[in-house]
This record gives sequence, C-alpha cells and structure tokens, in this order.
Amino acid sequence: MTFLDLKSSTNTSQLLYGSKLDRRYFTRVKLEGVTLIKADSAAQFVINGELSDVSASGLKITLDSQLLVGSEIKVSIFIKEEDLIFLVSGKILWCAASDKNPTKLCYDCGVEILYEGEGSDFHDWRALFIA
Amino acid sequence: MMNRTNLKPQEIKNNLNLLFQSALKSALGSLFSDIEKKIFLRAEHTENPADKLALFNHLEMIKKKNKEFEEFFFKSIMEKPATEPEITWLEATGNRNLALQIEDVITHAKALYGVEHAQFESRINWLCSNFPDHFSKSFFTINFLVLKFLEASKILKNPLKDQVIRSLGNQLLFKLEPLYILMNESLIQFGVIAEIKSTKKTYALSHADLLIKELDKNEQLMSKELDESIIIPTTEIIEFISSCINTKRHVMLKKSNWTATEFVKQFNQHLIQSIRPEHSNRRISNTDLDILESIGSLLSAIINKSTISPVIRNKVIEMQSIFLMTAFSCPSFMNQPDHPARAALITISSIGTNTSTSLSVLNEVANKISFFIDNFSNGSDEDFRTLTNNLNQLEFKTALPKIINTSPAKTRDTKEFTQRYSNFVREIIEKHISGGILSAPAKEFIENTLIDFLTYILTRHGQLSPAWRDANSLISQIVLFEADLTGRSVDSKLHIEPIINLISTLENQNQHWHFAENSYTAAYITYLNKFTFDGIKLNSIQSSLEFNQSIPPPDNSGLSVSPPPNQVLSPVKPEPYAPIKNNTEFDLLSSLDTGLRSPDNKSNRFEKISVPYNHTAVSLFSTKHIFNNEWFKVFIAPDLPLRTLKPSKIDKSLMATVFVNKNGVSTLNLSLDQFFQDIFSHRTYPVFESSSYAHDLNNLIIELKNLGFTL
Repeated sequence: MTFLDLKSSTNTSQLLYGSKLDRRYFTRVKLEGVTLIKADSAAQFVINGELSDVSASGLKITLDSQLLVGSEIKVSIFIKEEDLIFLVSGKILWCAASDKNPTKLCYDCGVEILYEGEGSDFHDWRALFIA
Repeated sequence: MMNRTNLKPQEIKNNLNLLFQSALKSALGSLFSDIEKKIFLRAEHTENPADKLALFNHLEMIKKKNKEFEEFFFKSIMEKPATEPEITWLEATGNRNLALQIEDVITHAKALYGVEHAQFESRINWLCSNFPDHFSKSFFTINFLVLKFLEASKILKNPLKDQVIRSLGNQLLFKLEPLYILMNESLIQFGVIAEIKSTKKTYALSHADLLIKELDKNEQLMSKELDESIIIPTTEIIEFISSCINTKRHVMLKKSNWTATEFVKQFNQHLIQSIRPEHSNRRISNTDLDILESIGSLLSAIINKSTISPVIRNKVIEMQSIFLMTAFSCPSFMNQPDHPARAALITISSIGTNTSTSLSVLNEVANKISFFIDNFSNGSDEDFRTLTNNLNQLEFKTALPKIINTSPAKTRDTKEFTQRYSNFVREIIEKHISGGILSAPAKEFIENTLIDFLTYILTRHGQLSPAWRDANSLISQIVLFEADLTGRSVDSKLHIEPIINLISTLENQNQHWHFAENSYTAAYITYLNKFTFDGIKLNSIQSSLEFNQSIPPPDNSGLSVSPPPNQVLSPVKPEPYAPIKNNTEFDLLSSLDTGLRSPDNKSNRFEKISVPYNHTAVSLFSTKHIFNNEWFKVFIAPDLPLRTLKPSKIDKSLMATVFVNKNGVSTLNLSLDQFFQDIFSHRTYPVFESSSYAHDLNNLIIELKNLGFTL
C-alpha cells in the first residue's frame, strides 16, 4: 500500500476508473506539452496525448483512447516552451471521460510516475517539478 | 626542446583528458537530446502504428544506451593502442555514404578551426616523439575523436546508430574550436611549445597581392622621403576616425555579411576620400592595416554570430569607429586581452547571444550602448568599465526562468514539502513502533537520523524505491529487536546482524547519505555492540564510526553560523591560501565559450573574487556536493524566483559558475562570489538536500572561520 492509497476514494463507481481526487503531495503546475504513451491497454501501442498539468510525482494527460486503470505505461513528454524531453514510467491511477472537447470523445488520465534508477528521467523530473 | 616544467606526461595526459571530457560531455548531452527531439517529433506525427512503436522504441533505446555510450567513449579515449591501425572511414562505418559524410564533416571542422587543430596536432606529435609510452600520434585529434565515436556508436543499433553518426558534425565536431584553444593553452602552460611549421592560413595570392607583399618586405629599405610620401601617417588616421565620431558618422560598413576584409576595404575608401586628391595615391601602413584587420575580425566574429540579437548586432555595427579609435589611440588595446574596451565588447556579445534575454532587456542594453556612443569622446578605460558594469547589471535581470518559475505556486520553498513529508514519515514510524518502548540510543537514532533519511528518500525517490523499502525494513528490525530485548531473548545473528547489514546497504546505495559520519548512528552501533557476545564482526561501518567519533552531533541550527545574505567572506590576511596546483575539478572547469577571450583575461564581467574557492576545503566541498550533477535551487536576485539548474563548472576566465539545464546546455552564469555567498547563506541549496550536505557545509563554514575568514 502506498501513501497515495491512504487517501484513495472508496466510492465503487469511481473505482472502476480510479478516483479523480487530487492525491498528489506536490504542487500541480499547468504546463503545455505533448506526450507519447506506450501502453498495452490502448487500441494502438503508442498513442499521442496532450499534457494538462504536472507535478513532481505525476501528470494529467488527455487522450483519444481509454487506458486501463492500474496498467503501467511508458510516457515521453515534450515540453515545448523549454525544449525538454522526458521519458518516464508511469501507472494509470484514474481515467475518465474528458469535458475538454464536447465534439469529440476523449479521456483525461492521471498518471503516477514510477521510480526507476536508470534508463529514465525520473530524477530530473522530480527535481524540476518538486516545487 | 625541453619540457620546461618537468611535468610528468601522465599529468599532461590527465589534464588534456579532463578538458576533453568536460567539453565532450556537454556536446554529447546536446547531441542525444537533439536526436531525442527529432525522434519524438517524427513519432508524434506518424500515423502508422508500427512506425510509431518503432520510433518510441528508439526513444527508449537512446535513453537506456546514452550513458553506456558515454562511458565506453570516455574509457576508450584514455587507452593507448599498441599500434595505431590505419583504418579508413569506410572500414570504420561499413557504409559508403556515412564514410563520405564523415570525410566532409572533418574537412569542414578543419576549415572552421584548422589553425588551432594544426597547432594541437603538432604539440601532440612532439609529445608522442618524447613520451611514446603515453601519447599516440593522433591523441585527441579530430580523427582520433571521430574514430572513438564510431567505435562507441556500435553500442547502438541501426537506424539509431546511423542517426547518431550523422549528428556528429553539427552537434559535436563543429563546436570544438574552444576545446582546441584550451588544450593548446594548457600545453603551452605545461611547457609543450612545439615548433609549428605553419600557424597561418595560406591563401592563394593574386599577382597584385604578391606585389604588395613584396613591397611590404622592402618597405624598410625605402628612403624616408619616399616612405612619407606613400604611407598615411597614423595620426592622420586617428584624426579621420575622430572626425567620424564627432560627426556621428560611426558606420564604415553596413552590410549584413560583414567581413574583416570588406571592413578594411571600406575604411580605406572612406579614408582616401577624406584626404586631398594629390595624396590619394597614399596607402595605409602594414602596422595600421593589422590593427584595422584585427578590429574587423573582432567585430565580424560578433556581428556574424547566428544567435546574436539584431538589436545588439546593429549596436555593435554602430561601434565600429569607437573601437577603431580605441585601438589606434591606446596601444594596450591590441596587447591586453582584458582591456576594458575588449571586456565591454565581450559583455555586449554575451548579452546579445543569450537566447533567454528578454526583448525589453535587449532594448535597455541597446539604449545604454547608444548613450555610450553618443557621449564617447576619448574613450577612457573608465568609460568602458562603466559601460560593462551597467550592462552586467542589466544582464542579471535576464534569463527569467520559465519552466520552474512561471507559476507563483512553484516559487515556494521546497522546505514546505520537506516538512510535510517529515510529518508523514513520523506518522509511519509511530505506526511501526505502535506504543512499544524504545531504548534511548534507538530512539535517538530513529529521530535524529532515520526520519531525515526517510524524508530525503521519500522526496527524492518516492515510496516505490528500494531505498524506501530498505529503510522501512530497518525500522521494523529495530522495533523487533527492542521488543525482543524486553523479553531478554537476544540473538545477535537474528536481530543485530540484519540491522547492521541494512545500515550498511543504505550507506552504500545512497552516496548522498553518510550514516557513518553521524554520531547518533555511532552511539546506536556501540549500543548494539554490547549485545554481540558471540563475536559478530560489525562490518566496516564500525571502523569508520571510530574514525568519526570526534564529529559532534548534527546541529539543526548549524546553518545559523552562515553569513547573512549581505555579508561577504573576506580574508583577514592577504593571500592566506596557496592555489591548489592541478586541482582537477577546477582545471576542467575552464570556459569553453571563449569567443574573444584570451587565457589572461581575468578581469571583465564580474568583480574580483572574495570567497576562497581555491581553498582545499571549499574545493573538496564543491566536488562532493556542488559539481556532481546535482540539481540546485539557485538564487539569482531578491526580486527573482529561484531557478532549478545544475552547477556545471567554474569558468575561471569569468570568475563565474556556469549552470546547465537538463540537456546540459549552459543557461546561466553567476559570479563565483555571489554563488558561494548564497551557498554559505543557504539562499542557494540542493533540491534534494541531505543532512550530510548541511553537516559538511556547517563544517566548512567553521573551518573557514577558524582560518581567519570573517563571516
């Protein structure tokens, strides 16, 4: 059980898609960017996504496809403004229909970034978004 | 020829290697980030799922393999082969197109900085013939570098491998001129002054040029009368420039494609037009031509920079007459690289090419320069110094952080999170203990050491990291041991050994955390030791603890001895510390973005250093805690938010600390003085601050105080 679970919702209907409660200990920052997500649970293996906000421990992305809650993904994030690319592993904590675009069905997903010693930008991400 | 300083060849080699690695690490970082970006953008816009997946896999591969690539590359450059194999680029690449491309980029690189490279090659040849055991003939030359790069690229698979090789020119080779300048300077300082057959570019001379050259040769033999009738006196040139300044006719050459030759030609034309027709057959002396060409080269190097802001470029163009006047009227301008006018030019160039400088700041800079031009009279050194200082003040307002600081929420101190996490850790520990009674040493060890450590691990790595799990296991083991202790059923193998092993594991796996240097750990291990009747060998931790017994317990208020923000460390005695010879960390920290600078350029943008950054204690602290690829929250100015950057190196020529971003790209320079003051006053601090950092910093401050520095 992680400390995120301590605050997780017990609402059954929400559990199907995970809870959208803000459980991040770090401050969220709105940031523009694009993402590529490699997930076994998506219709295609690699899908494009749009970055909504970030924190040191996670990020929120908007996708065309629905992702399975609890599944592990690899996500590459390009933050245009800073010309930085990150590659991290993550876990889908929740996935729900987005109200961003009324004309098209898309999904918002909350991703927890997973610790990785090497082969990922975990530490850089953590350091840059810790505040 | 002698090696005048009698330096050991291995030391020369190590020094070159440090310079080489410092430059190449940064270049390789930007090479890989550039490739990542290209692959990402291609993947983003690819519709075909299979291609998209393949490109994503390339992204993963490059992230996994770039470290391995760098390690292999830097290891292989230090190995001297028994024989130097004659290998063609075709054999090295196995691809005709790539081989041709490599030939082209090498030719282009040599065209860019061929003279510097030829000088370096010549010196390496000398070293090779004198110290054949240490140096190969091609050591650190362009060909050597390319060969080692190709060998390292075998770690990658195609098509990624070919893509990396194709980026070799733009991302690496073409950026190495400063490196060869620095390596040449370093070799000269070591006394390796090999004879160089040709240090000047050879041009195909036209008949007219040959004739002029021949005339120049015989110039001194000509009669004085004849000389006077042909050569335009320098005083006349100065008068002409002065008239240009007085009439606000500052511009000789306006073109965008600015060259030194064109500048001299235009100047000559203007000058001839200004003198009486009967003297129109006169010409400028060779000495004066040299000055003109030098100024032309100096200005063209800045004006033609691709990254320079047009606003600043125009101002530099407007300063032609000013710099000409200074060069002709002040003999030290040409001889002293740190001449105030040259320092001012370097500052202007630096601001103009700083991509993070905002337009408003650029306009302010342009206004300051315009004011300087308008009020220029004789160009005293003081005027240029004032200009430089004014521009530096403006420059510090530049480079506003974006990613970290655009949001007000993000400017909050990370200590808020540390406190929150610390409370969370305390809750976890209380759950572990759940009402049990702990002995005093165990309680102190947990409260004063483990809580800090767990907070640090939670902040830095999160709860999914092995270190977090190990630290939690350690607490469980301690609680278990204490519980069994009350029942007097101590089994040292069962209870004590796992605790000692876990402390050892945590110590080994977390280089930023030093349990052994903590007296609470020492006290706890001594306490445990009382129960080891069966002769358990407490591992190396115990011996290191004995060594560290004299270290006082960590003082949470330790940083209170640091100086207030406005205080400066100032030595009581003059020059109390000898500089550390061959201090590797600081040797490799020389500037690589030299531009117009020279090795003796010690003045310029920043004020003289007052913090003893060369002192052994400061150097050791810097190596261990600052220049170790760590992220720092960097204080810039009271009205600006902190920036998150990595201190990369010390630029000795500018007396500045260079900071880089994630891609290894230099994004900020801060004066060494300011940086160390901020470190001492804790205004600048590591993002993931460990207690060993605070402890070492505290000790450093005390040591500096004891050595006579007033804080």
